[in-house]
Amino acid sequence: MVLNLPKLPEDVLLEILGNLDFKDLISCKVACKTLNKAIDDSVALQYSIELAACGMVDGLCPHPEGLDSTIGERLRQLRLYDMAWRQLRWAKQETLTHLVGFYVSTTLSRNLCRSDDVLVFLAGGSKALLQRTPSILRGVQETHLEVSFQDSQYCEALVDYSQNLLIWTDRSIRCHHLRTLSTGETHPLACNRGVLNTGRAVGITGICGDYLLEDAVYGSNVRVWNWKTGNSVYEIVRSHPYATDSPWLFLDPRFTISKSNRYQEPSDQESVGLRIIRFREEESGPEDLIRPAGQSYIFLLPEFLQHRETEFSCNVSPWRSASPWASGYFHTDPAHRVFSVDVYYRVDTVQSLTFHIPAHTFLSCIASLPATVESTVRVPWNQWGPLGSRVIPRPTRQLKGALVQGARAAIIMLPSLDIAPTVTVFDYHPQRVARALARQRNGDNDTTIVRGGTIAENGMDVVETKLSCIVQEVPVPGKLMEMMTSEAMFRVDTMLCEDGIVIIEEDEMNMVAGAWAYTI
Amino acid sequence: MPTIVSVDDSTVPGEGSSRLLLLVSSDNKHIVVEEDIMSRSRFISKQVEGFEATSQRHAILLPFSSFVLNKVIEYCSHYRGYYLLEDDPDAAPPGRSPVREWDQEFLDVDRNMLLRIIKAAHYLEIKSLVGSCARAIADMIRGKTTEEMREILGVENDFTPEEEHSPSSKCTG
Repeated sequence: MVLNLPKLPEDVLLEILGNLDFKDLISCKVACKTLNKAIDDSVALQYSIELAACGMVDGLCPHPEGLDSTIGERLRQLRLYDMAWRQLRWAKQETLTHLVGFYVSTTLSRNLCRSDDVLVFLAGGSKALLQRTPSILRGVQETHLEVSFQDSQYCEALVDYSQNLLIWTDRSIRCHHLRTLSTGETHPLACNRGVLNTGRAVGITGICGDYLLEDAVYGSNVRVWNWKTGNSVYEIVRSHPYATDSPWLFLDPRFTISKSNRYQEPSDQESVGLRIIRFREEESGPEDLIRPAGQSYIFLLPEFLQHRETEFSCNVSPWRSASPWASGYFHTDPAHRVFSVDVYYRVDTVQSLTFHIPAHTFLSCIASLPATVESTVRVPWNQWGPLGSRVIPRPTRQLKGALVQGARAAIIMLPSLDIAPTVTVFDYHPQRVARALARQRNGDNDTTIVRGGTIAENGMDVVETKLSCIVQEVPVPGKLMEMMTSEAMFRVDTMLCEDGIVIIEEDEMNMVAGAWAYTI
Repeated sequence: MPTIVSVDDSTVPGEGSSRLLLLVSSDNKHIVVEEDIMSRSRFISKQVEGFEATSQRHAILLPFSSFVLNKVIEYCSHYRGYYLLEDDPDAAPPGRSPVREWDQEFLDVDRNMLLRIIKAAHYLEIKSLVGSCARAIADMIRGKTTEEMREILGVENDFTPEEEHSPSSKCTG
């Protein structure tokens, strides 16, 4: 007995097909014409197929701006998003006039913080401006929100877009206010009516899930708090009590805490470069992987590590080495199986750089970028915000390269005035790459795909893969270039967002004189 | 002369507060069932509303066999008095139906029967049962290749070879 599905009433058929995932739906589509047509005609099934083809899941949490849309509208937006990734181009410049008059302090990048495409600016110690940059890719309009905190004098702010969370640290009364990013009201999940009193006059340097990382500027320890319960869950003791450089610590999304965890700051003055420190098994020594200098690498973690916290529950500590010649910036996003390393040198004296990677962490190098110009001035790591970067114009009119890495794509700026300035985008989103390869097989050569290189020199640390990425070069708009190289009385800061660039012009008082956003 | 089958011997007319319905299956079996058991079915509810409007009660003819009907009544009796979200016309959520263990056991029947039950449930407008059957059928075809799927579903490959290899009949990406 066969099911004879096509003879069923159409809504029963759709009910059955609605239980299948996209792979089965695609098999159904090629089984017969009736099924093909039924699937093609159903907006909901089309949406689920295309969502899966893009490697996405439907948003599980409500839209931060309270927008709700029908499946048809979501499908339309998804197709726009997909097309936007295929042909990247700059959106028209947006003038962000709301920012004018806000402070841009670069002494600590905490005063200018960004999460996803939301930027936070402070003014007068009691007011914050949240600026969401517009984006064609994401289909978001430019929005902004002002949040005021009365009687606050000396403050810092930090946002986590994914959790709709704004943390406002009031140093004068030593507590953190937990607010909702979209409205400025008390966050519904926060402990103690939105006030986390830690009794310390310091700021939050990292948010990850339920956990906050509270840094001690003058102390010797770093504390981890659970912001939903208000409990201090862990304290990390530094080896240098009076360390002047507060380390940038990043919390792993699946950060779990046990008493054996001990963070050790490097004391070896000779060490150069970057290190992943495993929180869990400090006794298992890291394996070294020697790489040539002056290059940037993007790594993709193998899939089997994605949900195995015991394998890769690491914390990342980028630090400036004692060597005056090298500095680096590094961050990780284990949830997306990606981390990137940007390595550079001021003077060509160091021939190689050491990555300390746990022995059984298999990494695939999917892109290695050419060394940038040697006269480039690099910003020390402690002036880099998490995920963001600054570009400083030089009298020589040479611009440094900068890298921003999103969920599954990297935007790398390698502009130089000698040649046509472009932004190179390395898109290593697995599904987009797979479909680009499929299009190429069908004779559609609209994309440049590069085979990922491997770094398996000793054949032990690295798994050789066939990972590839799509390379697109987007010319830098003339106006943007002009701003970046301007040597006017104002200083110009450039910040990279997930899929765009925000340019901020400052006056001598570190106040924003003008701001523009370009998105691709 | 049709046979009258009572689903439950304890329910004799006039005893309970619930009124009785007479359902007639396609094989001409008469089945007496309490009205509130079948209230889960939108089709039956609409019929009953019709009776009340005309104050005439008559047998409801159904286009499927007593074997299938008894199975549907068994389902409805099991969930008698339970509120199932999918059956609420005002609150029915979109998307997949939830997994209910009893349903899985209940629907552990051959394909033929499953197909008849889903058709009956669709006719009687019992959303929760349609959902559970749909899940059970989907489980049968999940993870199968196109060839295996054609066999299970009883469909012919009606694509021409050109169509079969054109990208439009495959994944949209």
